Parts: sequence; C-alpha cells; structure tokens
Amino acid sequence: MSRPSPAPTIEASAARWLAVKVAAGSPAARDWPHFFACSGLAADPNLMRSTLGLNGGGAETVWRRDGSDTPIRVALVPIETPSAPESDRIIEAATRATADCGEIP
Amino acid sequence: MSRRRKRFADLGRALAVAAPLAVVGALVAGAPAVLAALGRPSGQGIAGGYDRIVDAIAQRQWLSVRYGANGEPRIALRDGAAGSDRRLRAFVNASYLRSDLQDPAVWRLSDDGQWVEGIDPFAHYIDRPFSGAGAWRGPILFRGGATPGLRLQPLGDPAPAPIPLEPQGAGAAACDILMPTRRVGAPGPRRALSICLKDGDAPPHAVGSVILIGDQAVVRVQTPSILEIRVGARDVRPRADGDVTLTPLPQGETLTLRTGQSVLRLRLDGGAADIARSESSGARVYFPALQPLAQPIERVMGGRTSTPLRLSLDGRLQQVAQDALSAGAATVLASHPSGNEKESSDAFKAAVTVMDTTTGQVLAVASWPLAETDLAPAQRRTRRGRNLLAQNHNFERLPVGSMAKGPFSLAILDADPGLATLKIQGGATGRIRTVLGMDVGKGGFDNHGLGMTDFPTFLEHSNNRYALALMMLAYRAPDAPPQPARAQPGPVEAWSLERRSRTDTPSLPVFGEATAPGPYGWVLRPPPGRGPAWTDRLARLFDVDAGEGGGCRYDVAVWRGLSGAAPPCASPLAGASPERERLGFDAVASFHNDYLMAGLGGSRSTWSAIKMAEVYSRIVSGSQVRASFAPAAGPSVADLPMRSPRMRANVLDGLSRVVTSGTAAWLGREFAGMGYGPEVALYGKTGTMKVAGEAPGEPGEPGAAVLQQLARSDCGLRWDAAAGVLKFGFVAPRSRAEAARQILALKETRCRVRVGGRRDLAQQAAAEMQRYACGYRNCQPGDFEPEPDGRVVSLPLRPVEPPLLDGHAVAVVAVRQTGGRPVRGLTIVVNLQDKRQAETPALAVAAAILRSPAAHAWIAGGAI
Repeated sequence: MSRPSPAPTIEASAARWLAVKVAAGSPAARDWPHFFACSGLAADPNLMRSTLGLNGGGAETVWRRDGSDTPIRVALVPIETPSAPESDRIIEAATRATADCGEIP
Repeated sequence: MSRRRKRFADLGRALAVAAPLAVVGALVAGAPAVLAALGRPSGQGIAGGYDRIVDAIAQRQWLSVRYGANGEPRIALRDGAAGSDRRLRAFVNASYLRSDLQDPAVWRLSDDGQWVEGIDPFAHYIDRPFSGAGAWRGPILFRGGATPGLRLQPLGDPAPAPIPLEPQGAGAAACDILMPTRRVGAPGPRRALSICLKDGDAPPHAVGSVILIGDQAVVRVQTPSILEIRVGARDVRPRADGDVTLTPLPQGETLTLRTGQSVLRLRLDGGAADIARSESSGARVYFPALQPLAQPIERVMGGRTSTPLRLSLDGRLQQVAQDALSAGAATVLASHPSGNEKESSDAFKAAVTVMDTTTGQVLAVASWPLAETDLAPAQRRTRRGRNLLAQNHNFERLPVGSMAKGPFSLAILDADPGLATLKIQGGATGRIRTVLGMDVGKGGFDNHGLGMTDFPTFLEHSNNRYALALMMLAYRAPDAPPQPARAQPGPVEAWSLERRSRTDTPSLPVFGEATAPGPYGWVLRPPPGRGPAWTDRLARLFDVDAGEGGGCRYDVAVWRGLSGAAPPCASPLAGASPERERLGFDAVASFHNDYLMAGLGGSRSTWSAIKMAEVYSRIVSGSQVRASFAPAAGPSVADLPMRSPRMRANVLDGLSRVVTSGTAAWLGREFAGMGYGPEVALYGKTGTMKVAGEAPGEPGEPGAAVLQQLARSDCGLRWDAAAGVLKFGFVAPRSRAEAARQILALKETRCRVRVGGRRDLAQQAAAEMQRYACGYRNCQPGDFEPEPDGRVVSLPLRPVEPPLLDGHAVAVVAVRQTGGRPVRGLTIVVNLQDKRQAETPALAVAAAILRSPAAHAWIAGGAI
C-alpha cells in the first residue's frame, strides 16, 4: 500500500502549515526577519516560532541565492517544534524589519 | 432474365454482402495479431483493432442514423441483408458495439448528420491513471516567461478592476476594503490589503487582511467581529479575542465579507499555473479549458519518464484570453432583452485562438463555456450541453461568416489578378438575388447596401454582392477569345473590369447552354466537372483542403515539434489537433448552396479558430507559417507561394480599412489608444454568421418526450371525450398542477422510471398534455387517434428544429514591422457562436486581449 503523503493540502479544513515559494529578489526573500515582516507575520511570535521550526530552526542557508524561488513552510497555527537559538533573535529583528516592508494591519 | 443469368446476379449480390462480412470476420479473428503488430497488446489502452473494424462497418454504410423527438441521434444496424446478417449480429453482441449503438456520443457523424463516419477513437480508451502502471504523470508547462500573477477580483456586474497581488507590491494601507460600504480601492499592485469594519459612529477599525506569503494568498483575521468573513463556505473568524487565524485562499476561491445586508465577494484569480500537473494525491489538475488539449498528450507520453513537457502556450496570454472570452460571453448573455429566462441563459460555443503571427506558434486557446455553472439548467441535463464543456472549441470547425472572404479573395486574385480591378454597385440592403445580371437563385443572399465598390472597399464593408461577383467571375478564362455579349435584363447596372466600363452580363461557363435570361437574370447552370482555378490556389496558399479529399481528419501536424515529425493520423494527438477543413469545392451539388454561399462563409465553409488564425497570419506576414504547439519556433518559414505576390497588397489594404473605417472601426479606434507605437499596424476581418443552436427546441420539449414515452408504455394515458382533455386515471385534470400530480402518482415501475419522481419533468409533461386539450364535450384534436377504449398509446412527434442563432467573429492581426517586414505580431481569432442582441461582442474580446500587458509584451518582443 502506498504511503500517504505528509504534505497537507490547502483545501483541508485543518491545514496546519502551507508550502509557499518566495520569489527571488522580492523583499521577503532577503532574510528571515524580512520574510516575516513583508509577509505580515511579524505580529504573531508564536507563528513565527513555529514557522522557523518547520524550516530548519531558522537557518539562513535555506534561502536560495542562485536566483531561484525559495520554498518555505509557513505555520498557520502554533505548532510544537524544537526551539532554535536563533529564533528569539529573528523574531525580535522581524519587528524592526517592518520599517522596510510596511506594517500589516 | 434467363435462369442462368439470374443465378449469376444472385451470386453477385451474395458476394457483395458476404465479401465485406468475411473481411470483418477476418478482422475480428485477427484483431489480437493486428494489435500485436501495432506494438500494443490487446485489451490494454486504446481499442484500436475494434475501432478499425467498426470504422469498416460504418464506411460500408451498414449503420443508419435516425433522430428522435428530442433531436438526439440513434445509431442502429441498417435494415436489409447486411443488418440482418447472422455473423454481423454476433459481432455486435460479442463486442463493445452492442453498447456503443446505445450511445450516440461515441460516434463520428458526417457534417450533415445523416451518415456514420466511424467511432470516436477515444470512445474506449481507458484513462491511464485507472488502468494501472505506465501513466505519464509529468507536468505540462506553459512556455517560459512570466506566469499570470495573482489578483483579487471583486465580483459584480460590471466587475470592478482586479487588484494585482505581487511580492514587490506596496504594503497594506488603512482600510483598503471597507465594510459595510463595500469600498475596495487599491491603486497598483499590493502585497497586502487591509479589511476594515465601520460599526456605528466609531471610526473604522481593522479586523483582518489579505496577505501574500510567498506565492500564496492568505486571509488573516485578528479580531472576532460582526463582520462575517468566509473563505469558500468556511467561516474563518477567530473564536476568541486575541486569537489570530491564517487561512489560505486558493486560486479560484471566493472571499466573502458580509455584515447585515451588505455582501462583498472577492475571488482570487491567476497565479503560477501549469497546463497540467499531478497533485500529491495522484489527481491531475488542469488549467481551465486546457484539459482536452492535455489529455491526448498524456496518452502519447504513456510509459515515458515524467520529465516536464513545455508547449508553445503562453500562460499570461491564455489567462487574458480566457478572461476576455468569459467577459464577452457574459456580455452576450446579458444582452438578451426578451426576459426569456431559458434562452437568455443558454450557453453557446465560443473560442479564442491567439497565435504568433510570424512563427505560427499557438499562444492561447481559450474556450467557453468552462464550468457547469456556465450552462443553463436545462443544458446541464443533456449530453449535448455537457459536450459543450468537454471540448475546447478552438479545435472544431465552426461557421465563421465573412472571415472566410479574406483567404478566398486572396486565392481568387492570385489565380486571376485582373479581377482586382473589378468595380460594381454594392447593391441595396436586404435579401437580393441578382449580381451583374446573373440570377443566384431563389434563396438569394443577405446584403448590406453599398455604392460603387472596388476591391478594398468590398473587404472594408464585407459586401456580399461583390463577393459573389468575384466568386462567379473566378470562372472566367482571361485568355479565352471574347464571347458575344449577353444583355442584362433590366434594370441594367454598370460595372467595370480591367478599367473597361460594361453593362452586360459577363460570359462565363456557369450559364451552361442558356441562350436567354430568366425573369431575374441569367440562370446559373454550371456544367459538371468544371470548377474554377482559384480553389487550387486556396489549397496551395493556405494548406487547406478545398475539396473533400482524404488525408487525416485532424491536422496532427500541429504537433510535429513534439517528436520531430508529424504524428500519424491515428495518433492520440488527433484528439488535441484542429479538425481539418473540407470545403468540398470539388463536389458542388448545389451551385447556390455549395459554392456561392461558401464564399460568404456559410454552407461548408466551417473553419477551426486555429486554422483561421494561421490563414490570417499567412496573409499578413506573407509567409507560410504553420500552426504549432511546439515551444521553439521552427526554421525560418518560406514566402507564400503566390503567383502574383503584389495581389497581397490589395487584400492588406482592405483588411487595414476594416479596422479604420469598416466593420471593425471601433476596434481600430480603441487600438489607437492602447499605447502601441506607429510601427505596429492593425489588420482585421469580421464575420457574422447564422448558427444552428446547440439547445434543443422549446422549453416543453423534454416534457413532450416523456409524455410520448408514457403513452407508448401504456401508462394509462386516456382521452376524456367529456372534458376534452388528456388524463391519467379516471378524473380529468382541471389544471396543469392536477395533471402533474397524476403523472407523479403513476404506480407501475415502467412508468415511474420515465419520470423518476422529478416534479419539473412532470410539470413539463403536464404542460404538453394541456397543448392537446380542446376543453369541451366531444371535441377531438386531429393529431392523434385514441383507441376505442379511450387509451392513447401514441402521440405525434413534433419536429424539433434547433434555433437559428446569429454569431459574431473577428480575425485581428497586430504586427510590428521593420522596413516593411513583419517582425513580431499577434493574430487573434475570436468566434462567438451566438451574439444575441450584442452589437459586436467579438471586437470587445479582441480589444481586451490587445489591451493587456501580456499582448504589449509579446508584440514588443519582451516575452520569451
């Protein structure tokens, strides 16, 4: 029997996270703080922490610098993930980075 | 007849029947070997052997087509020796054919619907995902370049401008969307939009936003409020203060904001997309309207590695064309002033092809209707209606009206350049039947009045009288010795050819042996077998089948870039190839219907939108471009093989005037304001055509069929002579509602299954019962005869004629030229098979495409 896919589908009513592609060269693709600020997620520390947990704990190396889009998993609800040492620094920087992207009401 | 000769005649007849049957028998017995020889194990995938046998049966005309009361064809074995042959009947019972005879949708019928040509090659194809391993699951991609961007489209009539969502766009401003006033305002692309609620006298406050995270749109709601916020059907408000919800907004999904009576709906459109791809669940997802194009490719690719396959289609232009076509169809539907609910909501065939003018690459094939909601409720129940959705209408031949005048007139001038000097009176508006003293026949033709008309003016205003004069003068032999003049019967009209003024009727072979004119002019009696020379030029210039010739039924050569060579006729790719034109000029039975009316774009002059785009690309570029779905342009194309190349300038002059001061002048004026430079020239040709509608007959028609079935099944239908009405049971119904109740109360299973408990059907059948009511004692309608005991077991079939619709079409070419040579251009063909009361809806569709950034980018050369 084939294994069920681990990927959630966005149609599912209980989707917990969402796979997105961040366009290379867009403001959100600069680094993690700018991704959160420019995506309107900077107001939600729990979601930011979960998102970092879903993407290698906030490693900067996930960002592709070869001109291609970067796939990122975005937490839609708080998810228990291992906490990473960089998380607090990124979340704190995200609030400052909103100056570059504009605040989302 | 002697006994011996009679015996030979009997033997000959027996052989005539038995020999083909023996072939069929041999084919049946040898089918596995045939399939093995074809490299395909029997019983898997395509039922090619069966198709061949059944095609052979059809080609011997052993199948007949009859039409039922509802207009649906019924296929059956023909009566007579072949149809009753024991071996053929055995084959029917032992093969798919038994069930195929019950399903008219799997058959290919002749153009006039009277003959079975064969079976649909995919009628028995078992789709790979359900037939086990080997299914090709690779993505089919649009050509390189930017994909259509996401945009939030507020819904309404008319639809407000969409708001582009882009990663580089501006952040949210204060209250981009305000409820309950339903204000939506966002100049330029955005990265986020705020949603505010104004509750009472307090200032508006933000309750949520639509944000772009990467390439996905997400609805973020941070405050529970009285503003209901739904994504699709799901309420996405948080349950408690302090909670935040993030909900993905998928493409095509609707965001609904509602407070009290105020409702605002916004739909997410566009986004990165493929023509086809597999989801992780295994399901195949297709771009709207492109499933009929993609599925045959998947069949061909079966068994190969699932590497991505790229086609020539441009994602942005496809989206733009689809949006423009849907808007055009909505305009047509809204134009119906009669208020007849059924007619006003009936869907019709509509297609748009966008092609690269200089290479022939097909960039978009938009089709409508797209979804079941586009169909009228009655259409959703019929196979014919569902077929409207199953096909992409760019691939089928459709009436095109006067769009055909472009290629026809170029071929005529190429065959006989002297005809470019023809000048005649354009004639009056209305139905007329004479041209240059020639009587075109009883039916005549429709004409729009015009004064003295030369060749460019003829195209400019699409004058039918001039077109017919050209079609008939094309029979002349310029080098033939002068014939004695034929006098025109009055009133005499002046005309000129090759700068010589004339008042006679030209001497042409189309008059046969006639020595005197009839009351309407010289009667046309063309001798058999003497066709004009220009149809050969038509075939050479445009690679179109001007006769009824053989060859592939579908132009599979559009896929030659996929494997290097053109696929065989029987390739599954035939399902994604345009149907080839068969103009039938080599088999003219009726000169009026088969020749003259074809020149006006009627009769057999039906063209696929893809072919029409290729034809106009050739006329404007002057080169032999070929329609192609290959992503890379082929080698440089040769010039059109014209005998008289300068004749093209006459046609281009006319096509240019069409969009300047002719039938598409509105489009030309719009084009002038679209920001294209002076180096971009516009050409066009419009067409209006009569189209036999898809919708069967009258609103009560299904009811008539049910009532006939109930009568035939002896379900108790009786004529009540005392009340003068039809009834079921003992009591004469006094109203339609009572009659419907009688129908719904029928007890016998054979009767109940006819109605299926459907109240609407019972009401329609009851309405049909009332059609027969005369309502007084001892009256009796003359169109049926009750049995002596009052039972009615047969009702007459009423002929159901499809409604005759007016369609509208246009071919437009916008081409950037350098040094007089076209270097980059777009050819757009729009064909709407119904226009209702809309004036020129096809022009609006073409204008919307030309206005788009995608079209600008293509013509400028910015797109890949």
